[in-house]
Amino acid sequence: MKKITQACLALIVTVAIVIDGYLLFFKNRSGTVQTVLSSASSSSTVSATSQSSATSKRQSYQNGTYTGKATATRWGDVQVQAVIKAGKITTVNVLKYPNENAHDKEVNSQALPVYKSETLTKQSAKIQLVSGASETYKGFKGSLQDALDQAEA
Amino acid sequence: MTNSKLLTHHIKAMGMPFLVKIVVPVGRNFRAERLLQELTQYLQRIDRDFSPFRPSSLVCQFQRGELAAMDFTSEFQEVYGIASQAQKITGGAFDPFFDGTYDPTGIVKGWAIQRAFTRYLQPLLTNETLAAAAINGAGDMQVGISETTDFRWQVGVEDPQDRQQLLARYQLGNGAMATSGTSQHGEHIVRQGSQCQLQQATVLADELITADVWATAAIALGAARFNRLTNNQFSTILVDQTDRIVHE
Repeated sequence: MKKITQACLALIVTVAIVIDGYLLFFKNRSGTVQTVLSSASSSSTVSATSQSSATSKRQSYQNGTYTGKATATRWGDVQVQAVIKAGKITTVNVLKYPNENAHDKEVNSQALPVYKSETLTKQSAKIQLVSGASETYKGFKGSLQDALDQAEA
Repeated sequence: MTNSKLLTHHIKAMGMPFLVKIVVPVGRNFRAERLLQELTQYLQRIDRDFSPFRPSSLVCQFQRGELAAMDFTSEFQEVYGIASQAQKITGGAFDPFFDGTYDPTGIVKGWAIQRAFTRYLQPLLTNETLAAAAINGAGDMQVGISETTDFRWQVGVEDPQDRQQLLARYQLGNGAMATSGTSQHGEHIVRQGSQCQLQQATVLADELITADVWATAAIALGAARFNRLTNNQFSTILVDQTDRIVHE
């Protein structure tokens, strides 16, 4: 009798585990399928920076309007909307939302400028960074920034 | 602060020099190789995606109407959004759609520096690995310091008449500075008025994207219109055609 009870219990437990496992597996699978389907068909978001290898195959986007996620900028949140025709982006619209924190903050620990009349050359040995418009095309070589860097080394 | 170490590194990316400066606190060691590698890779990738000179870049694909929906990356969206906003708030003085073609080049460098700073340098300041850090990309910079340091960045503004001289100097903790000029840029900025024309504009802001957009806009707008539009919300050094500082 004891043996039969034990066998029955073991059987019940085994069956339960199998059903559980099946449900878990099935549930997960159907969940995944649903996610993929919803992003492929209704697609409220197009974000393609890091696609997993499984989805990296070129999905063919249906014609329509796709809205990206909002980005916070100093001048309010923006959301970019792309109009897609034949898999290509034809138009981009920018949606804007007010952002209460969009005011420019004071730059922290900023001192008033000292001008060249105040014998700035003498102090330039202490300067670490130079802001200017000239370096763009000639590189830092020969610039004041370069000279200061060499003095620093 | 006397024993802290100031290290200077150069990165070549986007066809221009980037200067990375870090201050290592007293008694700490910091190996910069990995940081520099990450910064270089980041800037090179931004160049691949946003260069107007690479036919394969996302920007060029978009200009040709060939950008696939899959390549409409979140970064591409972000830059597009910022460029459009910049045009709006500067009353069109900053124009990423000049000639009817989308070209965000004017903001990409500033945006990339600011994002690189936030991603790779700010965490090292927050956890006090570094006392101070700065990225200077051909004259436009984002700088920062840790909470406990008394270090301040000594920043000079170049004199447009004599490039070996400084016009002004600032002390900065956290913030950004951008300078735009006319003599070096091949006059690609379209000026909107003849009054109060500027040969150089330097703008300070907390973020480089903001400073960069407004420095560019100032050259296009001239001092009077720039001041009206910005309502003196920024610290600036505006230099007129006679090498006079007209606004600070």
